[in-house]
Amino acid sequence: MRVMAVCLLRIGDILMCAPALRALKSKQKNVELHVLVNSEFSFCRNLFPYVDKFHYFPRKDLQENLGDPSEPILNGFDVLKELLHELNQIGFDELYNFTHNRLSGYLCGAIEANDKHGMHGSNPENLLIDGAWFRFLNRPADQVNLHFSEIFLRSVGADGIEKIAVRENPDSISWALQTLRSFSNGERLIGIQCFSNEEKKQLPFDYWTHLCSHLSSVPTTVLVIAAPWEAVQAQLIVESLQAKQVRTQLVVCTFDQALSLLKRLDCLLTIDTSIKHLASTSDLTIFEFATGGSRPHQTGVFGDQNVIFDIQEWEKFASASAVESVAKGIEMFLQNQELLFLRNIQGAIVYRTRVINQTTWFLEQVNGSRMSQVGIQLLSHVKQIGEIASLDAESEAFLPSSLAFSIANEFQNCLEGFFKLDQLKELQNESHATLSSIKRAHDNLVRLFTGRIHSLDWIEESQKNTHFDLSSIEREILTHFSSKSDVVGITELRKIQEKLNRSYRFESWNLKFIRTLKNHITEKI
Amino acid sequence: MIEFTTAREGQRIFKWSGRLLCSSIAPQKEAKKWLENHKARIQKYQNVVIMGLGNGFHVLETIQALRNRKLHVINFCPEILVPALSTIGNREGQIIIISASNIEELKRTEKFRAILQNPFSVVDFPPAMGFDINLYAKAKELLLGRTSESLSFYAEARAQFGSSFALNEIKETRGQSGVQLVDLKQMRQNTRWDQVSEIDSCVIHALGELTK
Repeated sequence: MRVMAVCLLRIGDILMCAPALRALKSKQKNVELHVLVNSEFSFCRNLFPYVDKFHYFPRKDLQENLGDPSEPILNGFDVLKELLHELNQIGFDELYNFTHNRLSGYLCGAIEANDKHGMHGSNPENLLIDGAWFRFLNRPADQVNLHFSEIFLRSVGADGIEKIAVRENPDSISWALQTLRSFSNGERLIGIQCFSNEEKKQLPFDYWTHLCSHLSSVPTTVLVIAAPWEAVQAQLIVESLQAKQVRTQLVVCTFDQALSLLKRLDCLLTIDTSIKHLASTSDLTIFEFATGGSRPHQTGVFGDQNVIFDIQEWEKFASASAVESVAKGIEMFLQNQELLFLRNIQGAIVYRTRVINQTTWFLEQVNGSRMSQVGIQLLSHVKQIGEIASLDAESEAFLPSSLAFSIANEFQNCLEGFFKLDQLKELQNESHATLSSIKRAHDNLVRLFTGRIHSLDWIEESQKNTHFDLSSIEREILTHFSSKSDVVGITELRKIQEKLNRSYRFESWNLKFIRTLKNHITEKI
Repeated sequence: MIEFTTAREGQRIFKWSGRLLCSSIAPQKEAKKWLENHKARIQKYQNVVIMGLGNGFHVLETIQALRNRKLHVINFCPEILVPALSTIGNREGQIIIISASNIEELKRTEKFRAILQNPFSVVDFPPAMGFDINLYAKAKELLLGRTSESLSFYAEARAQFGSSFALNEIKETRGQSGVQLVDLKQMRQNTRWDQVSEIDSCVIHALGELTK
């Protein structure tokens, strides 16, 4: 089976498609996976071992041609038509358009395939979006509280989440090892990535100097990571850090080399760029400084135990005391994932990225007064959940776990109740969702959470890290047990029992609940 | 009238009607430098149109450096064809020399019309164009299709070879006064969409998105 995936945005977007690409490759036996990317990203052919063939869209050349009166007017037409002719010779069974813009829609209209998913059409009047999850992308950005990686993954029919996975190039590994050996003596290595094509996403360079000069609790070398065309500016940052007695090294590298370097660092401080997605393929801790239109819920670091500073008020966030708090927050988080200092940061919403059981990615807000923000978010979630439930019914997809978790999380914090249909009904009056879709969404949520009964780790983990009030979730579990325990095997029950015996050490567990549950299990066994 | 002479660096060159068509000092170096300056444009496409044949040193230099390209050389001076070929040698299939005395004759030449069926780049060799620069300018205009008149010719020539986006798909644009530069937006406005195939419609709309 031949499958074509169209990814015509930037390299960061291609990386966000990686889990979906891998899922496409493993969807069936003998899948031949082809991917169309902009020709400037031809280097990504080395990164994705599960892609059989990359094809290149000469976007820049075409744009130059169209704007240059000394070029024959139909050159662009002929070049593009030739490319499409070549693609159509291959004969695709399925086509997925992950780009979601009109340009890609028209190209997908011209690429022949038996099944098309995503936007495609031959003119503005017949441009369609096939697939509920692709249509989900069509809504305003502030209403898409799901990570693009997750949306793409679901759009190819996969559930849960998968880490972004890429392949290291052996030459780059040698380069990285040699580079690090040349200046590193086993001290902590912190990379900073402060350049973006979009100037609005950059922070003033002196911010990095102030911040890094406070990161000195253990011997540290700061590596200023730059592409060749950023080297001159990067050198200035290096010099200003060195002037503050910070051990600093400039590392100019290609994208391949950056991957191998990042895999060998302890931590990365970065703005919203492709490098953060590249770093998320490794185990290092990433601190993302999101500003200038960045959308952490959709494009934040897709991994566990990273931190995102979603900067709202720059003056507050960049004040001398705030910089010190951020630095302390980073230090503490790096040592033992302690959130104490991060909780007090002002001028930014601070999120910790979470992945639970490989099925849930979400942003857990760790600072500020949550009540008012949560209330606003809640309403938008409820609107969204109703719409998604309708989409699910159509696409037979399951409710996205990260969204469900996020909603549950907000309910826990804000309403101290859990999945109460009455409340949903009230909120429904203010939203456009139909009652039946909200009911479906509610049922899905309950199913999702009760479906996790086999994994008490998840409850422990959630409770430990987010200070849940567990009373409501406990009720759900009990309800589930009373009705469904027949289908839970004895071995599972014993495991749970064992875990419960150990769980007394978590102070905020409701002892009454545990007793009841234990009795229930004992009775069943 | 052809008059042979020797360049300062020893190459045999010729003048036409008393005019030099290449450097009288170092024609090969001149050709190398010219190619260096135009290499980026020449390398872009398989087909390259060179405006001006001259003594042929620049044509030879190009084909030697870029062997897999097909060169179409426009020449408005048929008398120089034979001596220029003695410089270039026999390179049938790789180099097509299109000679004509005037624009109307050039427009009727099948080889010239055939150029328009595939993507190509156009480069000038000014030393060889000097004696009638307006003719070359006009020929180039036809090749670029960026004016109403030349776009009509362009479309007509494509129709002859059955290529897409040909005359029946572009509305009549003649009769507009003066030389009007045409861009993709205007071309889209002048398209007869009911005549355009679905794939061509996709391509034109995709290109339209790239110009936004």
